[in-house]
Amino acid sequence: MGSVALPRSTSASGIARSPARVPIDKPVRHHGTVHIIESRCKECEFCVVFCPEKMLEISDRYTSRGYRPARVKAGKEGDCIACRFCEDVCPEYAIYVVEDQP
Amino acid sequence: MTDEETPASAGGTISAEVTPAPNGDLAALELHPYDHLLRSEALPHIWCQGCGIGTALGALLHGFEHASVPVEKRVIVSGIGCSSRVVYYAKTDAYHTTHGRAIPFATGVKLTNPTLNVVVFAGDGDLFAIGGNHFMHAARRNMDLLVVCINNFNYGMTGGQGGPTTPEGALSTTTPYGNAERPFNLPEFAAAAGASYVARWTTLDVRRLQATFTEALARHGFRFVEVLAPCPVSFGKTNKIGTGAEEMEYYYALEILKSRIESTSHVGTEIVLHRPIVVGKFVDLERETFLDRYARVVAKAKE
Amino acid sequence: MSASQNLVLHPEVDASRTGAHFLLGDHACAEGALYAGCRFFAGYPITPATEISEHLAERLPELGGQFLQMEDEIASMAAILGASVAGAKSMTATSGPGFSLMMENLGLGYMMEVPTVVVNVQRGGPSTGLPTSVGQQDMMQARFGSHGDITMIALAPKSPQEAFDLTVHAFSIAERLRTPVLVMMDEVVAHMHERVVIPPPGEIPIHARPKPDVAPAKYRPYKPGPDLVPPMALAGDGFAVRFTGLTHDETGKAVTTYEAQRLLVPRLREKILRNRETYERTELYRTEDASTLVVAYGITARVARRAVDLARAKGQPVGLFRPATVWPFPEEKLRSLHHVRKVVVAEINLGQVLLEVERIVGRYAEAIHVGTAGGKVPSPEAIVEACE
Repeated sequence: MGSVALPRSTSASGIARSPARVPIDKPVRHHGTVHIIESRCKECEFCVVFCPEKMLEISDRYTSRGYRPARVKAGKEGDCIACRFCEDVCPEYAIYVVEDQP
Repeated sequence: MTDEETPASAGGTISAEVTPAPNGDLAALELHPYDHLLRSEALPHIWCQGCGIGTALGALLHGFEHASVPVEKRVIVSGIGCSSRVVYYAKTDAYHTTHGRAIPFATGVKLTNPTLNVVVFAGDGDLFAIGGNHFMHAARRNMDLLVVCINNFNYGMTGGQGGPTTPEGALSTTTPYGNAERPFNLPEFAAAAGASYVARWTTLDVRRLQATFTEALARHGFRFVEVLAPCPVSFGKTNKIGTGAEEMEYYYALEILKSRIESTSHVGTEIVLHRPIVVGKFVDLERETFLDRYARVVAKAKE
Repeated sequence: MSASQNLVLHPEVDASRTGAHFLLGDHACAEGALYAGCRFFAGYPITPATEISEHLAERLPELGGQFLQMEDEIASMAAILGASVAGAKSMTATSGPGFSLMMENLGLGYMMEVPTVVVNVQRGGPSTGLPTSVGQQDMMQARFGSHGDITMIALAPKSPQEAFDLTVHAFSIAERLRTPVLVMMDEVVAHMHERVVIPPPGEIPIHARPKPDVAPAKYRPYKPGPDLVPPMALAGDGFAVRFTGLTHDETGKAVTTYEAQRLLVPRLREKILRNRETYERTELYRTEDASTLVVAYGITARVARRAVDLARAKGQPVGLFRPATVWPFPEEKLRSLHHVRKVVVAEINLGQVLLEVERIVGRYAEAIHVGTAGGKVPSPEAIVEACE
């Protein structure tokens, strides 16, 4: 009991969740929305550096702790592929991705 | 004994206000997926900018979930040091003990209530300098514990002194001319002492780390996971490796997967400054644990 | 591992030893622990406490309990704290050198408020000293040995029967007050054989540790009750407890400030002192008309009793005050004998409990010390001579 499954895909290829008739040679592209809890962010840049889409950057505003939180680059809002690497690598639990429903 | 310094952020907590990204949908105002596993009111945590401990803890929490460990059966025991502060953030039964003594404390917990899934989470100095003897003997007994070592090659909490894993020649505040000592080879030490499960990853291997924790939490006996983590304010800075992200990339670039090494080649698991680092799973054995053997002692005593 | 599920949480009642026995002091101590429900022991061999380990290595598995020989005394002390937070009544036993190694984790147990019992069978020191001979030289270490402001409870048995009784008592105090309790035996009591009566299970009442009566979300592991003792949730109870040796608030959160320290550390001391009537034990012998008082504990108290009889035979009004609870020292009870003008403190050291007695009686009586450097109990004659 007590185990609440984390919302995440188990397979990068998307096979596990695909309906039966999706052709295997047609890549399934996922989209997501990035959420940032700015008050937790310490500007370590892990998400910025390791995002495969390079869609994040450090903002020019400061939190009360003196850090500039990460933000999505202007115009890159639709680039998130919901790989969730930022969520997994963030040491501050300050960024997460909600996958868009297809 | 090392001192616990008062971290600058220990005074108060800032509530975790949720701010959607500029493209965020306000309807999706939810907390971080780990929040129910964390004492989120205690965030932001005390670890420095660019520290890897939070990443490793996240992977462990992932492991608890995916190994289906019931919430009330999760126990984390820690010692003293940066890594040992996980007990203040993970929402489990949590015991912050003395420097080096987490393993024997955890041994008492596990033997008293074998239904608990007990994890020891501590740093390299805690586990292998002051606590080295306990590590060795718990491994020898094949005690049912998962021991996670955050190896950042130095004592972070006290400001970056050299320790039992500092590579030869590396700089620290107590090895200003380069470390004259050779470091422990942790995977081989654990295996030689009798560990049933041994793995090593860097924090950038976070997905592999998640899978390793998921697997190791479901195993029995003494399990050891070494996590090579950045410490940009001390080790990374002193040795000119760079920021936390740069230090992570640096270790990642030096990685050689154990599974890709020819069995005839002589690449060992020792860590030499600026030389390749072998990562992967080194030991995975199902062996009788202390509890298995002690059950026979009890049966014999009751005859 | 399924065969060993929950070995210790539900101790089996053991009536196999009920009755009168001719027992070694160390074995009587071990049986006292079992009688009190101790089902977890971790220790390291050391003279003259080894017989406690050996006896429990045989007896604990019979009762489904855990006996673990650790790699050192540091680990032993840590393991019994771990066992206690998971619900076991736990104990370790050692002597001087091992006791020194336990000091840090003894302080952890005090700060975390973990019930447990530590037996120190005192031998001659300092250092390796006299491993096979008697000493009472660790009394101040028992009181102040762990760093920081600690207030320890220490009991000193004078016989194998008391080794049994006071060990049972030690568990009862530890559980009720959520604190480590010390049984400061000495080598002579530990290695003497005497008649020991073990009552039927349940005849000696043993307090249980206070349990939380609130929902996990409302539980605060360090919120004290009216007697200053906080209820204790166990590992696995679903309370997600947070125990720490750092200065902490009521929730267990580390708060390293003067304010948090000011609330916590005096409360830990007051918890021990305010409840002292519930556990303090003393013995008085021929004190009514005494103008001279002998203060002694452990084996020395038996020699002192003989000295009192010898002095009385010579017509001297001498009495005996024996604290079975040496720490905190039964101050009020000693002061109630304020008609005495001379107090002779007999102990196997160069003057330790003497300092406390001097502090208590100094305004109205002269305090004299009779001791040895270890290896020998002061003779009755030496005590009589000091009384003259």
